[in-house]
Amino acid sequence: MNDKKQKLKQLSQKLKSYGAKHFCVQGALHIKNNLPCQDSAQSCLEENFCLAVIADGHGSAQYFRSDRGSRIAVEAFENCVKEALTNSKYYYHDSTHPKDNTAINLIDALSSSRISIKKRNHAIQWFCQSILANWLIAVRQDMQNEPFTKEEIRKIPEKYRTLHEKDHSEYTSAYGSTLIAALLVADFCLLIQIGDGVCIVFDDAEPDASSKIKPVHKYAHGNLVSFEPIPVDDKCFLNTTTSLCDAKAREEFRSCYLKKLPVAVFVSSDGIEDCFHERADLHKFFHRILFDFSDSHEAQAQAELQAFLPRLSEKGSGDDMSLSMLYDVSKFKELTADVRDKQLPEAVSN
Amino acid sequence: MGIYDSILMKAVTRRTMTIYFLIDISWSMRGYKIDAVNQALAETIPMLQVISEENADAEIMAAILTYGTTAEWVKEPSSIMGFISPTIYAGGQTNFKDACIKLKEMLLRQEAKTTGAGSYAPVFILMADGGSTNAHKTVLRDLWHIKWFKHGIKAAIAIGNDVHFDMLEDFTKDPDTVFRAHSIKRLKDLIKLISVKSSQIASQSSAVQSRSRNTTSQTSTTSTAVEKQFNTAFTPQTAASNATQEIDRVYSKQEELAKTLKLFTAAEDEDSPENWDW
Repeated sequence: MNDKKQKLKQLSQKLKSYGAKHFCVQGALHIKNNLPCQDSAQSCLEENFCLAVIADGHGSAQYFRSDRGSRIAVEAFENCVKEALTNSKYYYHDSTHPKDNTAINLIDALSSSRISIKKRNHAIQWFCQSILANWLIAVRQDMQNEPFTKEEIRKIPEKYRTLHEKDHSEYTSAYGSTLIAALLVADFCLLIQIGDGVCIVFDDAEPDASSKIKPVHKYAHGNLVSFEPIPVDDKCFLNTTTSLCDAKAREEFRSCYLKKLPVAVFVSSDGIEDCFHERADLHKFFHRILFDFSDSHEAQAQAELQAFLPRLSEKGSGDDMSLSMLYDVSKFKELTADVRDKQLPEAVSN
Repeated sequence: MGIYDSILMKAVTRRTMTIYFLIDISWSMRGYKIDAVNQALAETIPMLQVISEENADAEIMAAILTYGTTAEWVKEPSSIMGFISPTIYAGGQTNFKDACIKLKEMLLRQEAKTTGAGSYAPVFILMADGGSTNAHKTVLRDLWHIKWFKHGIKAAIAIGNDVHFDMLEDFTKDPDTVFRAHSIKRLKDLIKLISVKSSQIASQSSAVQSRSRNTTSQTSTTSTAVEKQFNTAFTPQTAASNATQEIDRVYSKQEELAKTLKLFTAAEDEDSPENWDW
């Protein structure tokens, strides 16, 4: 046990070189129409993990508490990570062999070399379900603390309103939100997503074929490669998205497990994605952010990005913008030492 | 100059929304029908240009696909600004199947080129005075498998009395967005109404939609001239305030279009066939 702790401590040293930042700005159209910011973002660096998470509350009238829904989603993820990584009695459920359930820490579950891919996927699935459960519990609590007003009830679609009024059925859709999160622990990276938005990873190479990850939209930036490793969900297209409030939300989580810590991970809402018609430009934007954080003083880089996002929203999508990032500046500098000319990324393949 | 300014200037654009006009140009459309379509398009394009210019949410693109013996792109998707309405001539058979194939090819090209980021769901408006037999069913089924079509807003105008309504309903999969043009005036009004209303609805962001009471008034103020034209051509069935209340409850843009258009077109639908002038 002590050996294990020692090993984990050694692995955690790698995380010390990471930085974590998050940004969340109200969209230009939300300001114009006096709507709240419906996005939420969080990032943190702890001794044994770092996380970056964003959530994008849905905009339509029937999702009238989605600003709270996104905040709750971000908190749910954070709570679940802390619970999973600190509680040694954290269980994951292997539905095919209920008797084999083991008290296991999430780090063990995911990083053990003995664990099969199938079991790892079960652990990730279980972890996603715990986020969903955590979100639903907090949403119900919020509804109890502050029941819907008459005006809010009028916004509930008719078919659900009757159920809500007569049978006190819980209309959790009012809190509908997406979620994208990145978790760096020990020597692996876990990415999860439900709904639209984007997750872009920067590293020295794309995942090898043995990982069975098929990243989309890959671009080369000198010695760096950026790619989107989370599988695409065809249900998330144009105005449609999957959501934490969906009846089948537990089946709609997508995830990706990277066997090594990447140079940087960005998670962002579709408010940013929708500003760029060309995918390469989106990757270039995140690349530029990395350059700025590696070139400038961190506080200055943060202030520049914070000031830029409202302008981006105004000229681009008009939507709320949330962005959360984890980055290893020293590794980034090392890999980009010979390409400091801030060039455009070139498409490797698509 | 900030470090992100070059990105802002070169790479960032407003979202786009494309409106596709699919126009039947078979023999039976010759004469006053095709003239009416040409006139209506010529009057609609400037209205869409105003909407595109004044709408902060989206830039409007337009495309025209005609089908007679074969289907042809008169205009491939391009910005509505600087779009000059072409004069369309009728003649030939009704090859709706070819139109579906050409549209499918275009949408597949679109699908390969972009993820959908930065775009609103497109609008498809079909205008037909005849129809095909069951031959259209397979191609329409294929078309409905294309994401851009499936997620798009679809409306159809039945010109005259000999239209295969089932073909139009198979196209929209929503009988509430299939409209009959009983007269030349009605045809022109419908083209303008559907084009403008669907563009307004399709190019609103969800966030704006969520505040549709204000959105409706907002679009009214940005396109007052357009609204005035409609109010003279169409009599809304209910008070405007009721209309906006209704919009508050719609959850999909297709439904929103159906509800909005119903308010404007219901009175005419109740007209007796004796008044039809085809």
